[in-house]
Amino acid sequence: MPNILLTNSCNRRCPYCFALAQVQLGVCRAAWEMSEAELDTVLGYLDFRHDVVSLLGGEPTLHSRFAEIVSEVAARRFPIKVFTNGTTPHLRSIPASACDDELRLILNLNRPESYGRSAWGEIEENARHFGRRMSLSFNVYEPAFFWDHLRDLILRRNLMRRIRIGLAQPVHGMGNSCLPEEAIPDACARLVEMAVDLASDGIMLGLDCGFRGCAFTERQRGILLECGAELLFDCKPVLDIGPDLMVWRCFPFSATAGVRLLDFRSLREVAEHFDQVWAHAMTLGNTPNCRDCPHFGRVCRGGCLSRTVNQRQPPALS
Amino acid sequence: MITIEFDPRGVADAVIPPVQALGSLLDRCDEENIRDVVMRLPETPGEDLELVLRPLMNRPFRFSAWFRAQPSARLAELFISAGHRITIAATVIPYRSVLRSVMKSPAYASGMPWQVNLFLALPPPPPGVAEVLKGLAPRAETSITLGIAWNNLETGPSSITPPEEKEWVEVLLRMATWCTERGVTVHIACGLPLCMFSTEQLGRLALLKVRPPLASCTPGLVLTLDGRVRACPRLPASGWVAMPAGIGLRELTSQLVGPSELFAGFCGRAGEQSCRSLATGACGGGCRTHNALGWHAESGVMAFSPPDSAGRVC
Repeated sequence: MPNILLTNSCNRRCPYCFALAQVQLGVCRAAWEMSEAELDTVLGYLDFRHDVVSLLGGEPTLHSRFAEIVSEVAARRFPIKVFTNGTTPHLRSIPASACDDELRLILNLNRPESYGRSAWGEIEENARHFGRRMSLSFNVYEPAFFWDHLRDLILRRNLMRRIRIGLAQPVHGMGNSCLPEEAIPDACARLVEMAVDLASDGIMLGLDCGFRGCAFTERQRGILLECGAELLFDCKPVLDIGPDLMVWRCFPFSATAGVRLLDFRSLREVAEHFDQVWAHAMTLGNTPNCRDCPHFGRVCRGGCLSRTVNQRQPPALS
Repeated sequence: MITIEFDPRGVADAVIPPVQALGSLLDRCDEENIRDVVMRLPETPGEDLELVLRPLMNRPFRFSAWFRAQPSARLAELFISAGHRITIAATVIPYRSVLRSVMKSPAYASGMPWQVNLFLALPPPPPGVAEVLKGLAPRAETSITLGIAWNNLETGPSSITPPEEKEWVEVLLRMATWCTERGVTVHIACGLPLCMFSTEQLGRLALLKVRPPLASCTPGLVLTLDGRVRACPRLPASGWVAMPAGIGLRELTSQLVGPSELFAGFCGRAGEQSCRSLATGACGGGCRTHNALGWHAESGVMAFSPPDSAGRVC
């Protein structure tokens, strides 16, 4: 399931930003947005029966034709996910005709004190507007984190009772905030506390890629499943498609050399290309124990590849 | 999700569906923006069924063709070549003949994604399961549904003892481990209560190639081509009702199924309010259909009491 970057403009500066390499282009150089023809080309690589169209940025709602793009993609029967910071009124410009069961909005929420009054007002208004179509996303990038504000917004605005949990990863050369390796087990224990606490309100967690299975104990994994958590210990080429139809393995690699989408016949070929490029690093894992682990390569990829590479030899920047 | 039943059980003279009936059902799905449609194909499809289905393959649905026991190679190929998914339900376990049939079909050779549903009828573990899995496993896209079939519901045992239950779960875990080692994705069939597993067993499951949900009860509307409807493919003929007029398919589903938060009848924890698995939907509280037919939780143990003459379950 590839991510489509609609624009590199963003009105937020999250310390852990995964898209930093692209978003800084918008700061340092001219802002960029995907053209209609480029989007049409990308959709040609997808099949509505198997693929979800994930729209990201930057902040995707800042694309000048955001509402029209969502309408067009919906008309082609694709399920749509919009990953947004929720702080712009443009999100509510999605026409009612595109708001069916196949549209999902994932609002990434940081600590409340990081928002001004106006931005928080937009978050509240967007949450009220979309209700059950919207779920929250939360990124772990510091050892101590809290979730009462997530619960509060979900219950007050009747949002979908699921929170995507991302573990911030190093984007090469960008200096974004992320947890050091040794802090991850404690953060995972905290996530288990979070899952148990939120389960009492029927709210479940969904882990995004980049977690290691052994960062949790067996009992912690069991408790997470009892709390409805969706566990993922995988790391594979997600494929992020950005300016000039360049493709990167995933956001943490977006400062490295990408490839041109048009040089490949299918997204599967692109993924295979990145698998080849990083084949050796994929055999390592985040910890020295990974290679001898019976789960490594089957269910667990030993954490985020970007973290593995970063711990050894950072790749050359593009 | 909508399921279209081609071969309704309880109808002696089931016929190949007329194109109009099928087309009309799909039109209703389209109007309500329902994209996922399961087609439960007949056990012995007539030759003209392919002619009925072929023009529908390019309609904007995600079809899943469900074959009972013996898949038709031609029909499987039809669905796969149009990019849809096929499922082979080996519930009535002629495992070896199913395997032979599957391996011969062009569908298997095509390498496209497909799913094999293999329900374990335990205890004891049926013979030949390992052989079937060994044959199917080389296909990277193969996935298998592991479940526990309560056979002979009306005449089944009076209860399942805790040691039996433990044995089932251990066999299921061993099978899931076996599949994981061979790269086969495992789905756990709906209807099991999550509390059959200990927390530690769930911790083990989390590191296997097992896809969530682990313990759901996900009834979906089943439509027959002669205008009847029911809430779950497992429901016997007595559970079918005539499709009411003037009601949308989505609304009909919620009416037939009822609010999920009220159901916990097959739950080892008796649906206690504080159960975090029921609260989050990690557990569906067991199988509604089995519950309706007489299975229920009794002090945490699964027991069977046939409904009385009024249809009440003790």
